[in-house]
Amino acid sequence: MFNDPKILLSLAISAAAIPAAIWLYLTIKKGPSSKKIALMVFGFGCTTAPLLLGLQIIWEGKTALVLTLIPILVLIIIIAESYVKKIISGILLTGIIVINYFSELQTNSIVQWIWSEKVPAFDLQSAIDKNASSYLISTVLSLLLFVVMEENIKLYVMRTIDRKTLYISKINDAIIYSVAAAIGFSFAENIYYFYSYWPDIYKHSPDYMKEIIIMIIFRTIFTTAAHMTYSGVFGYYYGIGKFSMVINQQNSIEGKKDRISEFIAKIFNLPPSEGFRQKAVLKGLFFAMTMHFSINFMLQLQEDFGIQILLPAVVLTTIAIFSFLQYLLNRKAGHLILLTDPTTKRTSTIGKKDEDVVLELMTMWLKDQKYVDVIHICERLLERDPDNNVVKMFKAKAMDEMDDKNIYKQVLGTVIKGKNDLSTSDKSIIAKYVSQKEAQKKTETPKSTETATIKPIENKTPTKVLEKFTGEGTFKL
Amino acid sequence: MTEANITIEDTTIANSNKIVKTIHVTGQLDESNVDEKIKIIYKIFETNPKGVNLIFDLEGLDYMNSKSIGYMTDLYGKVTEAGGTIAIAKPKPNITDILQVVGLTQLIKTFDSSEEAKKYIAENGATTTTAAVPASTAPASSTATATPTPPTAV
Repeated sequence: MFNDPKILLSLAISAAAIPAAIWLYLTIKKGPSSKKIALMVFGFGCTTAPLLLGLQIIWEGKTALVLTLIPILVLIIIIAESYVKKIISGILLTGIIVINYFSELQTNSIVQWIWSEKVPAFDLQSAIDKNASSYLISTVLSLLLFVVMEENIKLYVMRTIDRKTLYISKINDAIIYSVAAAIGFSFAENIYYFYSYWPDIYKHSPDYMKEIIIMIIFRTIFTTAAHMTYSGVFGYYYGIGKFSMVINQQNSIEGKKDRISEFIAKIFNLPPSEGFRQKAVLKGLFFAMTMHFSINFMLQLQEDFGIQILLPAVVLTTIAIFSFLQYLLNRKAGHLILLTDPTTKRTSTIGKKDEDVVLELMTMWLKDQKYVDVIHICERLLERDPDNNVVKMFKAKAMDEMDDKNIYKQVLGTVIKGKNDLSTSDKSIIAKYVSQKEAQKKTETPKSTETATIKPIENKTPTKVLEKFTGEGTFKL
Repeated sequence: MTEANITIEDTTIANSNKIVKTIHVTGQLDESNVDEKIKIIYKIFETNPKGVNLIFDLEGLDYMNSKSIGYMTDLYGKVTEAGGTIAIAKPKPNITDILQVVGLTQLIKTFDSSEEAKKYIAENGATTTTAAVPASTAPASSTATATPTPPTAV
């Protein structure tokens, strides 16, 4: 069966498709704004691996370069928005077709000089192999080359879907769509690997089934998960960059200065939020490429030098980054819809200057860990200015901070019995005074001059305490 | 530097021995003046450590920054710990907005007039222990009828 190309291809696709479908299902379950878009991005991701593989195959000759240029130029003519680009591409395309199809022109000395002298071959892999002074340098540069190409083509997928601006309306959307693109890339890459290597394994290995199964498990679980982690982290920073206006505003209110963003904006003459966005995207790309390179390098060392400890280290690293992604996806800020139709934005019923005073106070209290008060203020402010994304971000931030402590408190509460009060880290002022006042009213007799005994709040879980003041179910986003 | 004025006035409430101070705040409280001006209010606690009630007359206050709100919250804590009460009188709409969103209106009642604020303090404010009517077994009123002594003759 491994000798028949059609059967081999079917087997390769089946082996790659089932795990990819499971990964995709688990990713889409995280709730992107649109499952259809997630599937579309997955499809788009599937084309990226063949594109890169095609590039590797054809970058050896100038004829191959010509064959590659023709479809690229046709694509530019069709999709370019600028007429200048269309015209230039048309001229280049006409020139290539004319030169290639009219043999008299090919013998022309000027054409030959241009072609042989001025049009270079661009086999980068070959250039590295020829010029690297050692095996280590050659390995490092080769790995870097492929890491840069793979992560950049996945970035290109995100940039393409992001051109339809409302597709990515939450930070979590950026993470999920980026992960979907990675699953698509990995799915296509796995088909290629299975198709390419199974016949060799079948031919040369007596225990070929075991090796094939190990290959399937390793590539469909670990390799795919690794790609998902690189792209997931990139997607997070891409999302941060996309909502740079809101996040930059929040940072500015909190008094945080971003020197690098300011520098980028200054150098390229961009608005501050655009400088922040560029920095976020570059940061995400850098992290993705660094993780990808590190893991590939460790795997290569394991293969070349047999250092057994590296594979467990690689697996643990991938699991750690995966867990970090889960944490990012569970944060409340990631679920906020930060991009809506600006024409439907509701006006604020509180003055801008007064709102700024409240935001300033909220920032102070956030720094002082008075999360309950911050959440209350955000809720009241959102009643007056419902589409203020900065306020929503503050609320999400305070709730995320409380949540982390709440889990700890709840775990601690089951271990240490008899703890009725809230965590000591909850430093709410107004909420505490209000609850004391309520307790006092219940115990005090009218016109009594005695000091009422303040009873501790009975509920253990902070959510129930908060709901006491703001109504049931107000802390569900 | 923006202008702000704080003046404190002793306020008497009819038929009451409560210590009430009315704090008139005018102008704008911002970063340039709030730390300095607020000391005037904190001095009240040096001479009246217990049972003082405060009325904030904010009729002339145009703007208060986040720090002044923080101070007001702190003052509420100090006054209530000592058994007193705070009320706010005649705040401007923008000030009411800020206080409402911050949540201070849940702690401190606001009134449209000083009279209403005084009435509230009269009903809810702390009574100072130094001016309290001492507990006594003597007749409460000088016009009270004396209990007649029983006759001793047989």
